[in-house]
Amino acid sequence: MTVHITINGKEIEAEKGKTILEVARENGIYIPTLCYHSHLHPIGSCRLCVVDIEGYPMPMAACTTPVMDGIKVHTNTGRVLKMRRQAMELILVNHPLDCPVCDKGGECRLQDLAYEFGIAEQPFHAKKPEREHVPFSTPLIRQWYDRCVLCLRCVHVCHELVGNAAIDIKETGYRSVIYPVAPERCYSCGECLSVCPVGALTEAVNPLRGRIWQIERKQTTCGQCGVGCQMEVSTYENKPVNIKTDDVTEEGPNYGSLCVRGRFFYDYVSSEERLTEPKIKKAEEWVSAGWDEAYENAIDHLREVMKAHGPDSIGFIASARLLNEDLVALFEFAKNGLNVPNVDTSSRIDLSAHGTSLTALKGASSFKDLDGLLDSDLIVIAGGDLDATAQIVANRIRVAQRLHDTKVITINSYKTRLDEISDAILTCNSGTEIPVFNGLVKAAFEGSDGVKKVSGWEDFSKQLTDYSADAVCDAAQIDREMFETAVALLKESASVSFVSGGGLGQTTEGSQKVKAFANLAVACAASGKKIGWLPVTAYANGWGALAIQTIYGGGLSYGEMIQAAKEGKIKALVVVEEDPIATLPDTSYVKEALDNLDFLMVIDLFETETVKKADLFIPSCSFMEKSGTFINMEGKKRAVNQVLDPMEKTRAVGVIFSDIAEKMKLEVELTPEVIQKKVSEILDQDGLKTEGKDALAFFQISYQATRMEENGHLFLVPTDLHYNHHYGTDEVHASAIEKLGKDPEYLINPKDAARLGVEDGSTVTIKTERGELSISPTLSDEAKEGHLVVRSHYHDTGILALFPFEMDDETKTPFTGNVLVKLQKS
Amino acid sequence: MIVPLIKGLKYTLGRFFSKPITIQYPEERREVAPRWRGIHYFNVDENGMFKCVACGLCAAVCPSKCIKITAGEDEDGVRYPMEYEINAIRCIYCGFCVEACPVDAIRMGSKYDFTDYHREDFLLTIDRLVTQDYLDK
Ligand code: SF4
Ligand code: SF4
Ligand code: SF4
Ligand code: SF4
Ligand code: SF4
Ligand code: FES
Repeated sequence: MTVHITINGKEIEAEKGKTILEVARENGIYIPTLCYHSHLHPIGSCRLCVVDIEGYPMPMAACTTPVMDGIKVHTNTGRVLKMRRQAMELILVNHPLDCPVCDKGGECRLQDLAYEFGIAEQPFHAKKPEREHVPFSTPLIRQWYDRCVLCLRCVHVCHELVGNAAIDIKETGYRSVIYPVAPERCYSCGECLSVCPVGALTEAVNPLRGRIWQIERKQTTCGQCGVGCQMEVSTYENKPVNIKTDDVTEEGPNYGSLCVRGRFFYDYVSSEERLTEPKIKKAEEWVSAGWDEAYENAIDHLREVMKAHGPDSIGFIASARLLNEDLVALFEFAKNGLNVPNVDTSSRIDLSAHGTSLTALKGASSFKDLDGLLDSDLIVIAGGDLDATAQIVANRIRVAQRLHDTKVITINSYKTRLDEISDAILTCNSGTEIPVFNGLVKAAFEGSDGVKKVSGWEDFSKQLTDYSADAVCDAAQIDREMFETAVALLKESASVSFVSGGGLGQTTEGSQKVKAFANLAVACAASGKKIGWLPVTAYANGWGALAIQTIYGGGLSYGEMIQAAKEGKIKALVVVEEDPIATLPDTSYVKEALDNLDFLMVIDLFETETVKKADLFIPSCSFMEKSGTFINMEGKKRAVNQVLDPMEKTRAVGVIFSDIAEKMKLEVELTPEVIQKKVSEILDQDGLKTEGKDALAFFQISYQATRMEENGHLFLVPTDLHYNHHYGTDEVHASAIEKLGKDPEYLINPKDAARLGVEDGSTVTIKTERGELSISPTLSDEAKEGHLVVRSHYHDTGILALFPFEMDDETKTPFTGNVLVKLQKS
Repeated sequence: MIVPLIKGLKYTLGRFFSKPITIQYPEERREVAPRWRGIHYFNVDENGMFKCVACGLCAAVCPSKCIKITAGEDEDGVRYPMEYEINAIRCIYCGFCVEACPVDAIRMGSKYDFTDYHREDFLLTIDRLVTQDYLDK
């Protein structure tokens, strides 16, 4: 529907429902604004955007007034100009002359407006309210009361986008203040800081400051998780100063939002703890070495092992956080140069399970990216607390709900923040995800004709007989009403998106859980619904790594290499920006395996636990110090641009392997051009190759309900571990971590606590056959009965040591979840 | 012919017995006008602390780009220069920095001659701007 309006005499055809401001902007007509922000609902607090409309007695705020057919708008009448000026003068009454010491100086909306309006002084005066300083909701942000212009952008962003309502306006009139009303809900995401048009909220993370004329700012892709957020890094003298998103190109998964990791953890790249020199271990002591010496050392050892035990005795483990270019160089070097079969990446940890379902479901998906969430009638989330892992995805889901009234189903074994907006909360017992998925398929789609046409249905439907609603609700301990609601939603929604968190694939029977979840999507697609399939990945280049490792194929997987090392079959390991000790279950097993090696070479940024065991260490550089591409969770190619020069002597992984290949005179050519060509053969212009899709089919699931609840035993549920392996290696060196505090939280249901006689905050021991750990749990309803929930953003909680070293039969993903622990009072 | 000669000699003799206008530089130095734009120094407050808040305006305005400031913020949110450096050789002594400074932190003194043996010695850091160690160079 269009309407016809005129603005300043210009006739304009506008879409109905848009505001005058939006239409004016689209047509290049300037109206000053302060509180308006394109990602938020209009706020209407500043009154700078007032315009005159013929026939109306008073001017109206352009940002909140929708266009109506036939209205004649004037943006520059004497009356509105005067009103705007007065509004500005009133805003400036209490604003201090802080510009020289304010972080925002030079990029401040208020400065620009004052300049635009030519305001050099203002006639009003008011007494400044005396206020006691209350810390802001996060220690990473500093609040300056008197710089605040009460535009309310921060409050709105925290309510609308982040869904937290951690801050709100308090008191009235000239005493009004932005106040942390629920600081415990704050994620420290910094969205409020990002939208603040003035310097009322400033960053308190890194002491380094830079004015816009002193810094350089360049767009790149965040390397901290698989969302692939677009962000701009400001740098000064080869150090990052801050991260902004104000001018990033709009396309991209995050639309100007970032999470705490992307926005505040950046300074690990310039941390003083970075290792910048190659080191060789001689008689248990590290000795610094030059690059040539280090390369020689690597070559000698690899040749030696190769000669004595053959190429099968060597393994390469690489991070899925490396660029596609780095990975291709590494695979070329190892597979084609040295003929080593065993090369794997950490995408094995969080994506392999989804890899199996990818081809069919990606092919059947109508929604290929995060924007699809906004077009969905229903979003089904399983296996993870998205707010902790990929907050941007959670934010998009909240936007979908706010703008399109999208319904949400959450399936998890613990309470998540998204449960608050969920229409059907299926908090199931740990390990009963498969019955829940099967039960939903049975209840919602068994009778439909569509599913019968899809191959695999016949066998799968036989499996389904055991999963009546009663049986499922009983086994999983979920609310029957919620289950019915979920079934009804699945039936009636015409478009459904499935978001799979990392928690499904990494726990016992991971590949089966993912397949069971996928079957739900297949059933929806078969019933003629539009679907979207979005596995959340922890590693920035998870899909890229998976695609590359699939193309090169063969050899032992990540976990199998560790097993083989333990058994003495692998003699030399090259570990690239990975930390198996901090990533894999059964810490002591992994350590023993690494101790067993003849030669361990580690390439990394920091001294990780694995580096401590290395014989040769080579320093590499972070994602900010190199250029290339990532494939993000949507399967899209994202450009990584170099914003910093590599720190001191560090080199990018791709460079390191092409150097070594050259020194070894290997047959492979690893020049940037060749690598580029190989990458473009493996990947499409804009992401994962999508041709060669499998036909849609139901997966057959093998499921054994073996785990019984024993007295005194609880399921250990690590909520965030699955996504944050790298916290422990890189981000843990960010200064923000220090301020946020590192202590993990252990949550136990009050009923369990009463049953086991555990008091709030008392110290207890949790035990498995692999080890024990002393903890002090908090009583909380967020833990389901029978579960002990661990909430930590850091790996070094010691809980990995409690898991046995077991892998999925199909995907070889090591399991880190679903383990029963015995709780003892100490 | 002779008359102009006598006129000239008269002037010479007159000067000969009057107070000399040359000064014995470098033993003696000339007083400069109060608005003279000599070598910079940092103004200090009553506690002897320099006043610069690292706003960066002097660096922004400086036409010869010879001021380097690394701004920092301490734990209390106070902004200060972690590093401040004027390259006294590159400086054209225009005084724009002094004019731009919102807190009267940077000033220009009366010293106009500044000699030393090494280029590095002409880098005026925070310490040197406060102590003005160059005054006797
Ligand atoms: S940091 Fe994020 S969660 Fe915390 S108050 Fe700001 S917007 Fe809200
Ligand atoms: S803190 Fe910033 S964003 Fe929030 S109301 Fe004040 S000026 Fe607006
Ligand atoms: S969601 Fe992921 S990609 Fe986006 S800012 Fe956070 S860590 Fe970076
Ligand atoms: S006097 Fe002029 S040239 Fe010298 S530092 Fe100041 S602004 Fe720069
Ligand atoms: S000397 Fe003055 S203008 Fe220069 S940074 Fe310091 S306070 Fe700002
Ligand atoms: S921009 Fe319209 S009221 Fe602030």
